[in-house]
Amino acid sequence: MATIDEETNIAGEAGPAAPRTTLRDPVRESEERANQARLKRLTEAFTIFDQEANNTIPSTELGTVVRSLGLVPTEGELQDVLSEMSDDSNPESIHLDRFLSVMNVLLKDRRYQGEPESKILRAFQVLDPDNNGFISEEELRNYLCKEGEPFNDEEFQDFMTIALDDESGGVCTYKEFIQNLVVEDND
Amino acid sequence: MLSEKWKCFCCPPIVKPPRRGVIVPMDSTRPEHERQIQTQAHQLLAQTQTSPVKPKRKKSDLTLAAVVIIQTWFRRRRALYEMRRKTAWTIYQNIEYAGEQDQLKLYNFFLELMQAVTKNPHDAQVVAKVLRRNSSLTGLVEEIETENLAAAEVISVEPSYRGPHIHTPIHKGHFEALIIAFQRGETLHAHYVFLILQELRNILKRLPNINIVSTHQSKCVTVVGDLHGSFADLMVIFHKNGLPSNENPYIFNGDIVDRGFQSIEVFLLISVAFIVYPNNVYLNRGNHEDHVLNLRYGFMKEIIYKYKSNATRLLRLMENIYSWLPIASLIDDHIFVTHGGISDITDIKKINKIKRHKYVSVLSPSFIIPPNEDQFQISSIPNDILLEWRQILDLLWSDPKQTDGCEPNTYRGGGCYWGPDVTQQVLQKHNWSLLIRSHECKEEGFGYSHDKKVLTIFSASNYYAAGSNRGAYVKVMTNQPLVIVQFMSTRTSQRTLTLWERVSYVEDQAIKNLAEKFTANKSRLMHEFQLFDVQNTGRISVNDWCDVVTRVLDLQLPWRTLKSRLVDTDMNGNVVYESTFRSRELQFTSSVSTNVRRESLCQAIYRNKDLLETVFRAIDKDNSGVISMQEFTEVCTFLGKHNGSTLDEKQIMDLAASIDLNKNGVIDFNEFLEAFRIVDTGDRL
Repeated sequence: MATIDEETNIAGEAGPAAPRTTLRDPVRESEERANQARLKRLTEAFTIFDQEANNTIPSTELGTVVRSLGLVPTEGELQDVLSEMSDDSNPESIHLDRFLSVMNVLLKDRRYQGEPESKILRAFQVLDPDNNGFISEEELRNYLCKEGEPFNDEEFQDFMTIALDDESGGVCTYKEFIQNLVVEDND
Repeated sequence: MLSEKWKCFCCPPIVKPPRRGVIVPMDSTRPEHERQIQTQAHQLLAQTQTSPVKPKRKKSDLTLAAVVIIQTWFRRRRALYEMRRKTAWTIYQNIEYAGEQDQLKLYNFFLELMQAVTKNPHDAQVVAKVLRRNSSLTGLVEEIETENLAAAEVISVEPSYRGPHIHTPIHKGHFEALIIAFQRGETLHAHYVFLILQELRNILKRLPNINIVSTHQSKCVTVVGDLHGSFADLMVIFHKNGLPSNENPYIFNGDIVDRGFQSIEVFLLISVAFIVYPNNVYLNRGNHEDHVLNLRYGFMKEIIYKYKSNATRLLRLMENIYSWLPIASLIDDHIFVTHGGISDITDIKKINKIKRHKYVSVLSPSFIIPPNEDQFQISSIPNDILLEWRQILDLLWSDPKQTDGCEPNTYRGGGCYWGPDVTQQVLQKHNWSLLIRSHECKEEGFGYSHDKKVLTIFSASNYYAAGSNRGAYVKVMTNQPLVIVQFMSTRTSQRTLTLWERVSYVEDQAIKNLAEKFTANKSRLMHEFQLFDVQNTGRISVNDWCDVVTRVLDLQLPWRTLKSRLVDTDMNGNVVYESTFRSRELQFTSSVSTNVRRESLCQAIYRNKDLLETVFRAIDKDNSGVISMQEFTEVCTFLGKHNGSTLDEKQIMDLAASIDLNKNGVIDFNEFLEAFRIVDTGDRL
């Protein structure tokens, strides 16, 4: 496993020190290229929220950044990530260095990948014990806004916009909805 | 009466809601318990064939786990969209700054040329023509001239005019009549425009440089930020906050005109409010209350379009009125309100002494930079005059920065970046507690800086595109905390836009802007791409693509994040670079054969459309839309030298001839510019 010196890599092009041997190791080279590409990708996503251009983002934006990079943590898990990344002296913001080192580990260990589609289907079926194939808006409101890690009004409104089925009106036919829920950002 | 709907965000939370712990119906919310729930979720929904005996789970645990899974996946989807929204925002900001820098570079270029007198007398002539637009009238001569300008009687009102009629004394009824008329999209007759502006000017002339505002009587005053010609936003504000009156005072903190399509209507409405309630409506000058900026940012265009033969006179009068606008306001002796901000030299005593109305243009005051002197040297301006100029320039153009210190504002071309230490110093010196300013677009319509000692308030919602940002205004009340009210005017729907809708509107336009930039730079981009593609595969690495695009477009954007929406990639993840230009083509309206030789010329013209337009307008003294062929080619060549584009004189003449726009030695530059457009050809590669 190649070790990455984050300090130099944040700047961009400089990579890990080249091995002294003149033999080229294609596997290692491609691994390094992949590492560099990933670092650039992570840094870019982070920088979008770096308003003051000082390599920090507000803690409140961490969820958006982490999720947009392919991870699917719950709010509780996100809290864990946050405490790993944040600095006691400055809990309101997260520095790029800490972000990169923690993210690298998370990505390498394939953490917080989220449940596969089959399990999401199961989840809906649990909420639909009569096996109707759909759930009403009312029921969804009861579940999603009151239990688990509840939605706020804005989140629920956005959820209903995509969850409700135009044709059957007022209910969520979840089997089709799941496709929409796990939409990928083609990267 | 008002049809705009909005979502009320009174006293909004400035931070996002805090993270909620897992709510378990029966038990406590200790963190270990949370993790237990997580693992239970995995187990419950796992297809366990190995363990024959499944432990009995309570139904509520199962439900809980299911709910969390759905919530978690939804939040992820939402985050993807948030990211896209923020990325689109970055695009707009970058393009806006790049545009402003361009303007600045052009301006500096002009100034430098003024000094290099012996290099090329021909160049000096072009520059002189442009800068000579600034008029410097003094004293009595000015009064007589402006009286003539403002004379409404000269224009008669036809019987067929169906719009509102305004007479002196102007009163509240006129104000309301104008609101109704402007909502219907009507244009006020030039006769009445001049009437109003004449009244406005008479009152403005008596005002001090800094408005003294007191909340003693009314107990409150509302500060409105940049409106930029957005009539819709002004209506939302009046609807939420009430019309201006003696009990409901307003401060309008500049940038009323430019960019939006109803700049004159917004300006007139605010002017009438000011005329009717001169002791309770306050106006601060913004950096866009300046004819030099109106040249480029749309107000001039709007006036010419709406007022045609009266446009020139109207514009000259506006120039004069701008110079009489106060440059700041002071509320209850402790809240300073100005459009841009402050700098390390800001001193209210010095500001009060300035004869503000010498500064017809703040960016380029002609009494400092004489318009028709070839021998001019900028270093010859005496220091005290420079310092006085800076006092006003800094108030209207500066931006706050995070780190200490004070440096020239290179983005804008005027004013400073000032740091928290300067805020501290200036507030302390004057015994102020807060600085309210505008000038910068904020996503939430407002933003605090410098430990909450500086409040930015921006009132033009949807500034970049529908859904891009909220607007806000602030109510200052005696002995009470500030109340900030947000809003977003929407033309299309009766309810708030969902996140999905906002993102798609905002993103669409941003991506279009980028796609146009690609097409406008096609020759250069293809050349660079091919340098990396030695084996002619049509593909290059993501890295190389990002490199080239950043360099050629000179835009620091998150290209990797944007890539999927801009180009196609192959199975190996490499970029098929021709797709950078997919379905977009630079086309011409007339029968022009666009052979390869002309392609880069046309792209160069398209890229420089804004600059060309600015300079054309400046040369076109009588606003007729027409300049001589001679002047036209001068400008094109001149700009070619300025930014190294291939605008060869002979090529341009050929082109103009072939477009058949050269009619008797004059050219309609609007037609010329319109002839270059990037169109969607509808076919995908």
